[in-house]
Amino acid sequence: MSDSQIRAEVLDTTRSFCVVAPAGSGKTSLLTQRILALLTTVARPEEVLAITFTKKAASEMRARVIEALETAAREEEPTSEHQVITYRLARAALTHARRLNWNLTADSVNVRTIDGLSAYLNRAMPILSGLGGGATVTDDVVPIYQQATTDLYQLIGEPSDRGEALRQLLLTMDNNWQRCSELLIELLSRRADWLNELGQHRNPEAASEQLSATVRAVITERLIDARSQMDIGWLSELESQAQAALQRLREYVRTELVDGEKVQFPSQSLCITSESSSLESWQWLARWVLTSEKTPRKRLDKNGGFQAKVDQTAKQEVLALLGKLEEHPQWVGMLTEITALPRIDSDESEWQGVLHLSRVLPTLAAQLLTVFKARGVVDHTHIAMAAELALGEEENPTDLSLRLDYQLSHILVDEFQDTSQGQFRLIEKLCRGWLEHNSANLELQRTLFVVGDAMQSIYGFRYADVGLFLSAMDKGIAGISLVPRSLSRNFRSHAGLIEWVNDHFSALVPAHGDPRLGVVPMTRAEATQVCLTDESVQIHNFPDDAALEAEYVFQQIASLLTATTTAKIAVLSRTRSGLEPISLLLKQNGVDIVGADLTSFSRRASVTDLVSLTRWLANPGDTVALVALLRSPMVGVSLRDLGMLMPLLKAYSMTYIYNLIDQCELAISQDGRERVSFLLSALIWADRKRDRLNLVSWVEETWKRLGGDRLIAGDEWTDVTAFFHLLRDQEIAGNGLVIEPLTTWLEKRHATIESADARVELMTLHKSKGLEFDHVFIVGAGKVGRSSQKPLLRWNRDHERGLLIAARPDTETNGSLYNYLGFVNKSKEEQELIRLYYVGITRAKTSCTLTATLSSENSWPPKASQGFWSRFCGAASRVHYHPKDQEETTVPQRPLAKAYRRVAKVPDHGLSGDVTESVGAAKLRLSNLSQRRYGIALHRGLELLSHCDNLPAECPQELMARLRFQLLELSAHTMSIEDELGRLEVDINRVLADSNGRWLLSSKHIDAHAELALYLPAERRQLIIDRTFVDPITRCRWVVDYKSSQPEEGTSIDQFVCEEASKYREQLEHYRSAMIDFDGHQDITTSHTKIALYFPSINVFHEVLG
Amino acid sequence: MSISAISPFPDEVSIREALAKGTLILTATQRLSRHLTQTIGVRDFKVGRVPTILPVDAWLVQTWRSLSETHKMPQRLLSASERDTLWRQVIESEVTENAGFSLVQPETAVQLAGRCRRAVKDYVVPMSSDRVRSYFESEADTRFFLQWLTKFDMRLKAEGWVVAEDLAEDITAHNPTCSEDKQRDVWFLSEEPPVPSLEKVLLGQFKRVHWFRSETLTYRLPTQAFDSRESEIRGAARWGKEQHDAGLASVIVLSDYQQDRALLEHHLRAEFGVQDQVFTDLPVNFSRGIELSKVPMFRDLLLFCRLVAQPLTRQEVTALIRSPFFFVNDDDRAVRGPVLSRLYASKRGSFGLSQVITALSQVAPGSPLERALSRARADRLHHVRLSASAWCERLIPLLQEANWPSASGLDSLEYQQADLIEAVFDAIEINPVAKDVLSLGTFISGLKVALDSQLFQPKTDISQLQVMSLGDTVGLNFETVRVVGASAERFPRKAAGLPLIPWRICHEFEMHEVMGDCQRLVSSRLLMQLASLGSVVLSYHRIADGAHNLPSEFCDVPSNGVESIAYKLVEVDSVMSPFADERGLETQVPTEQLGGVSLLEKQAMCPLKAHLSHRLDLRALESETQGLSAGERGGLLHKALQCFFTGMGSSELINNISGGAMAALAEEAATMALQSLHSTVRDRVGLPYLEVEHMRLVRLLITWMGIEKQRTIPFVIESLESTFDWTCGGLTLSLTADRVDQLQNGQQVVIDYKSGGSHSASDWHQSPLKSPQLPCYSQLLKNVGTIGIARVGGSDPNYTLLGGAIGLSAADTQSEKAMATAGVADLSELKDRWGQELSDLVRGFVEGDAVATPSANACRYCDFKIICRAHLSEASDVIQESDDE
Repeated sequence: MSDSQIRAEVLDTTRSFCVVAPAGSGKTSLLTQRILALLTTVARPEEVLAITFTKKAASEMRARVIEALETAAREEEPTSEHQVITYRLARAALTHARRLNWNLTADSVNVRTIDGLSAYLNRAMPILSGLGGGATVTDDVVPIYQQATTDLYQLIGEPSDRGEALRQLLLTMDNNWQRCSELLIELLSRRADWLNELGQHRNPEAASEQLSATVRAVITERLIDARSQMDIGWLSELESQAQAALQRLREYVRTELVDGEKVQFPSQSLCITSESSSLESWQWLARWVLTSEKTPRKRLDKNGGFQAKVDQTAKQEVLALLGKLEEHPQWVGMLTEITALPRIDSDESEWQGVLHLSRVLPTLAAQLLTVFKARGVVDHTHIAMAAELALGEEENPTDLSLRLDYQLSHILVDEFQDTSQGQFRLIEKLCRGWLEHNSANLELQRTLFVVGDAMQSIYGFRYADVGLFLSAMDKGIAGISLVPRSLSRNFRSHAGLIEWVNDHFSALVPAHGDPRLGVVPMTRAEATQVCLTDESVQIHNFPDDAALEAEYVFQQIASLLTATTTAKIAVLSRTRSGLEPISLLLKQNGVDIVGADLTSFSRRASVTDLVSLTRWLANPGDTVALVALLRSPMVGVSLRDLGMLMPLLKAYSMTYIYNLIDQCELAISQDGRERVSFLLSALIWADRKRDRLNLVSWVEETWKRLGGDRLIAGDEWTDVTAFFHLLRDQEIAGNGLVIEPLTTWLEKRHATIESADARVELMTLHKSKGLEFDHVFIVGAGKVGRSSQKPLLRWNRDHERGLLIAARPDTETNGSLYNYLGFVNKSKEEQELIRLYYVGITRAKTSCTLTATLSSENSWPPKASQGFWSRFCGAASRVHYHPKDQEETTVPQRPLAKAYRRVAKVPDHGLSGDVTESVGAAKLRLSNLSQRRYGIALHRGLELLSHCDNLPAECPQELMARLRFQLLELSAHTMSIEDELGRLEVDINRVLADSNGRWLLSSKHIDAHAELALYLPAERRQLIIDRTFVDPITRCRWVVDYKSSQPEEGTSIDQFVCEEASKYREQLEHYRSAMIDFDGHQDITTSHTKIALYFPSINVFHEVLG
Repeated sequence: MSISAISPFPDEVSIREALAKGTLILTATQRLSRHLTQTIGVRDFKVGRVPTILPVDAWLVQTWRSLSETHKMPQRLLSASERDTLWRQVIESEVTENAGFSLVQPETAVQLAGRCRRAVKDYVVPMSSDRVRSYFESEADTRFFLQWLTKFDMRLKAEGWVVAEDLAEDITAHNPTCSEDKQRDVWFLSEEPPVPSLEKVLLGQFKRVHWFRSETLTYRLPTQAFDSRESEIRGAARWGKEQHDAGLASVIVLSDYQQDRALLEHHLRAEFGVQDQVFTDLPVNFSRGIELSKVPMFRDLLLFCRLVAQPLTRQEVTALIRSPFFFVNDDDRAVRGPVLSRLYASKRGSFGLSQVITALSQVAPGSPLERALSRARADRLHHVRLSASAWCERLIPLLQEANWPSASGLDSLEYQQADLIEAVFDAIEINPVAKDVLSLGTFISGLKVALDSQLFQPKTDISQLQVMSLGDTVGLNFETVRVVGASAERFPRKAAGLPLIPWRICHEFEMHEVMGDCQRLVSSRLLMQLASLGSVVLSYHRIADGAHNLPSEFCDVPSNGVESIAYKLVEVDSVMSPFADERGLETQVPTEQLGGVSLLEKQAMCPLKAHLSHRLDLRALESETQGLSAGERGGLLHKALQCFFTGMGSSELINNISGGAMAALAEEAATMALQSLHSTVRDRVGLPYLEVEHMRLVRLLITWMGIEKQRTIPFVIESLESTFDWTCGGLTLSLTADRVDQLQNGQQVVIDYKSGGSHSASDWHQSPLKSPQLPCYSQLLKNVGTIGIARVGGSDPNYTLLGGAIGLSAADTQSEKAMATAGVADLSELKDRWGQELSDLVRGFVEGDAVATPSANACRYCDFKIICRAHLSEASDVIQESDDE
């Protein structure tokens, strides 16, 4: 089938497909078309779910769909054949939407990242998922994992199996908690893989048997594979030669011709069968024919059973047999794997290790949950696991449609090759029951559409398993068969480049896929564009000379930029640091660049100064930060002056030292004096403003006072801004200035260089996936990454056989399962590395240049056995070699002798009068809640009484019930209100018995109000006046404020009242003035307005005189 | 009778007329009520009665209170935080009763359950109906909620409590017949329709009910597109300043208020030039305040209380000690740093009350903070259980003792904040849902909740420029409006969802919270209302988190926003000058004991490091250590080896000792080594750790004995851990040789123990000397024939030697090779060379040589990176940085 036929076929919305879409084959537009086609068939747009792995891909897909719909809505029919298809599909989708009254917006197009989907499912099923609601997800997981391990260590003294397991684990780790933590943290990040499995090891015997059975099955399978794929005649011949050589070798040892200690013999006679029991023979044979570097032997000596000049015939025969291995590299691969296969009676210590871990790790996972709970955050792994949990077990699934309000009818998955085991399970669960549905509803088929390219599977470090893609193609997902289709036309690159990739990678990638070892088959692409250059892909080596490499790349880029005005160029590298030399060179030469994640923030000068400042602000005990500030370019104190200053810095306050300097009582230079006082005045200012400005303003203003903003080069502003954003996040979270997460973030995050017009983009190879450029440079090729610590646990889930799992054994042993799993992982990593370069090179439309700095110590080109890069170069028809100029002598490592830089002259701003506005010291004083509660209820009681037409003689019970309500509103149920209620009754009765009280509350007054709320527009405030009225006899307006207070013991009533009057006079005057105005505009005639206080508890009415 | 819906919103005149006729005006928000009160009620008067314009929630409370007050069984209306406490108890009871039940974020569940119950009440869902209940029973989540709901309601009933969402139902149930309200009209001003429960109560209470709301937007609004969120918000701040300067009443509407408020404030401060001034100097009104728990003085108050109850982390204790709201002593600024250094020196990750008191008493004895904390410890507050009011009574004197919050004086804003403490304590004291007696920890959780639920809104002058969320703009009018964050993702806001209510119920009762169209409709009306009275501009940013953002459906074809607002670029070179500064203060010789051999090692590795460490005595703060630090572990091993070999003085004894005796000796040596640990270290790591450490030491000793037994040349142990003073160039250093053996031929073997790491004999014949320790001993001892590192720990315990053979074949062979590489026949030939090298190192140090010499080795664990700046990207060609994907 041609590509166009496939493209038409996969728009069939009744069938499920798995489409292999290699680089440049127009995958996103195919997905867009399929989404549009599906939108014409569903009852609600949400029924079509498209899943991506990155936010960027999701937003791009959503934008493409919306763009197509908007173009269709505008009825702008395009001309190209491909766009016409999209246009028509979009028109049909719009018509369908109108008919069903949908509003097709960006929001209703159901495109989600896989993480977003998990979060959505959790929100929809908050309790089933165990989360409780929308979760706060953090990327900063290390401190959380760290806390979980710290909590785990608290169990070390526990007298239990778990405690013992933990002690044994720590002992294995040399009781180095720090190192053990690091390994446990690594395991926590992958807990989705082991959590269920390890819980099952409660029965060690059963688990051990299960594991042994799995190992045996794997061994048998490998041996069967080997026998079936190798030429059986050749193998028999080899076996008999080996038998003979073995016999000779035994003789040579017996006669001491060969040192017995250097030779290993199989415990039984050689027997090359498919039985797992023959593994030892196979392994002896494999080691006999392969070198330690796993290449076929080209020399045979007495240690292999061939005595010089004696066994010549046999030697020639065997060498001829080994020659066949050169022709069949896959046989070499098989023999190599056989050497790594584990013994069935594998090291007991590694199994003991698994058992220890199986007791410790579930506890660790539980501790992690506790930390999550305490901190109110979770990680992405938890979100994914919770989503899986929410979807229910196989036997008890959740009815998703009930929870989501719509039935998922179609699922599309982009970049399927990047799926991990957990994500695969999630997709399986989403499709649960579809098979039955499709059998029963032939007209309403639910479909899956997965698109990917195994050759672009490069996210193994994020646990992507390319085998899942191959398995889905072969066996479908959740019982749904996927029609496999492969696109081959490449619309991106020109023919020369495509041919190079086809030829080159075919030689590097084994012809047959082997998902177990991460080997995927390579699909040859078909060019759609003509060849433009002779050498589309070039490889250059600059032995041990990164500077020359950078210079070369720079020159090439410069000439390309000159030659064209539109060409886009990418510089790619495996690592971020690999991009730094070229990024510096480009910047220094004024080339506009865009770079994502180039340099760690912590390595940027501006951020370093800010960190020094922030560290000191966070912790005044951080003397290193203070010295860093003194030595920073902002201040620039000399080492000699620093030496004089240092003892003082440790002993005295900033202000004291500042004054010493001011009074010239310090033996430092005049220049130093100015610089130090400049710093100190800024820091003293900062200390006074601590917690009185918002966090960002505080740090930024202090930094500016130090002139930090004057020293920032243009491109560094983005770094500074990113730093302040981070501080702002801390502020929003209410954490205040906390330094640890800040510095960790700065170490891990990388500065981005942004430019709207730049034509040169720098990024890692991983980041380049999905993008395209006219010219691509891959720098630092062939560099080997650092080896990491051996993990505590290795495991591999064999799709057929189950889980293989091994703990790190106490001592290095050959033939351990742990080592075999290491071999499998290494193989996967190597294959992924090949694919990483495939991804990088296929980003190019026109040309791709790879540059390396491979050591010149070895001959050039390097031997094929020297690893991936050598094989990569070996497969190329031509490699450009740029040896170092021989004249140049090697310069020994020299000290960093470059001059320091500092501000030429520090601005002079000493300790000005700019100190915090300090209103003064306020003592913490709290009034008694009971008193306040009583006062409120009393006010309410008097208010209610004032509404009575006829005042009762005693407090009525109905009023008491109302007052009880008032008191209850301000009480906890533990508080007794009966005393207060009794007091209230007494006081109210006292008021009712008092003539002044009865006069105050009388309803006979004119314009009487209780709790009158007045509004003063000019002041934008309200006043509440307790009681006011006009005395009908005197026409006097009274404004009265009730006071529930009483004189303290020893204070006379007169004195108390006098003091209270003085205290409230101003307030009452304000009331009077407001009342006069109020009376003025409501035409109430009064003779005058008087103010008074009334104390019900002591029966005192007191007019306050002006 | 039904509610009549009227568009658009009434104007000022209509409202005034309606008020004059006795109409009650109810508003959707308190802001609108306040606004109308200010602009309509008493415009022409100096003083007037407060008009009857009420937020609908306040009206409900007021009406309910007046009804309840007369009721024979008065009820208690729970506040929002009290209601949350009750939900928390209900959900916690699920955990208690159901062993398999657990929630990672129970607090979210509390909020969610509250929201769902509100929806059930608002939409008058008949929960007693079997049909409704069967829907709830059909799914696990909704079934759980139903159980919780039942428990919650039973508790309310049993205690006589009411929550806000019950008020409408309660009022309707009372249905007061003599209400004056029956005779008058009510206007409800809201862009959202009244929920059914409200509708019911309004219809039951008033003669006529009119719901006023705006028309929907029928056109798209002009839009500006920016590249990034930063530039969009900066653009908005600039716009705000322009509107302010032009004297226009304007508003900046944030689609994500929570997220963008702080950044906008920052840019507004920059635009108004008040970056370093107090908040009140910014002539902008923000619609919402911040939670008290985020206000520094209260944040620190919480830390203080928590320290009394439980240990604080490093970060927390640092924040408490540096807090300006607690008084340390008169010379605060010179004290806080040393207190922290002292605490950090313990390498602990967390600090309890005693540790903090100890540090304070050492540096600032008798300080208020120390006194307060000591009093708390003396009262054993972390052990007692008290009522909430009793806790308030106990804690307040402590806070007073520590001079909280006015240790360093308060500014006017802080005065306003401090005033709120009374309300906070009241809220805790009167919470009827809280348990009768609480532990301090529980009380502090309650305090945190109270602080979270109380907002601080500074009293500021009224400004022409306002900042608010779209929902806050209901009924308000502005001359110019700018909506920030108008992207498809955020605007209109997505429906929040009610996952604890079955979908069928949500749909049947048309619950707005789950209907996307309702959200869109409300946003559309709000925009229309704003656009009908002023000019509205929307803005959004194109890129968010590296992905493309699409404009909101309300956006017209976007024009480019303000082009990137460039910061002022400076010619850095014009203000910077280079200066050579690689020499510090000289050491006045003769000087004794500025350090041990580490001085020489550092000087060889990086003179700046040596200068900072030994000349300036600069120390980094100790980092937190899990278990023992590498140094402490090394020290223990040295001690154990010393103890072990003290009883094992020669190869003869070693070879003749039985396995059992050796094991016993190893046990004893390990025990003695552990006993030598400082008590503070023992306290830090704990006994269980030390037991494992004991096992480790025994294992290492026995393994090492296996190596020693392999030595074929007899030896006696001449000395163990001997100290020497070594003087060179006027500098006297104190050195300790781990072990010196004497071979049969009289030659000495100087041995240095290492518990890990890689060591090579070539380190001893390179220049400069990479590892000067053993060469240094060879200068001191007369008859050194061999120097060697004993790698006692690690996966491959063995010797690395240089010099004559000691009878270990592999190590001796390597030594021979190393000697050949160095081109010498025996060690004496190297001694002169070493002497010169060591003298050079000493001279360099004494003269103040402080050249930074970065290398992977020197920089790996260096604390002084931020001082030497060699790690910066511009300078780091020497250092290999780790870097991964």
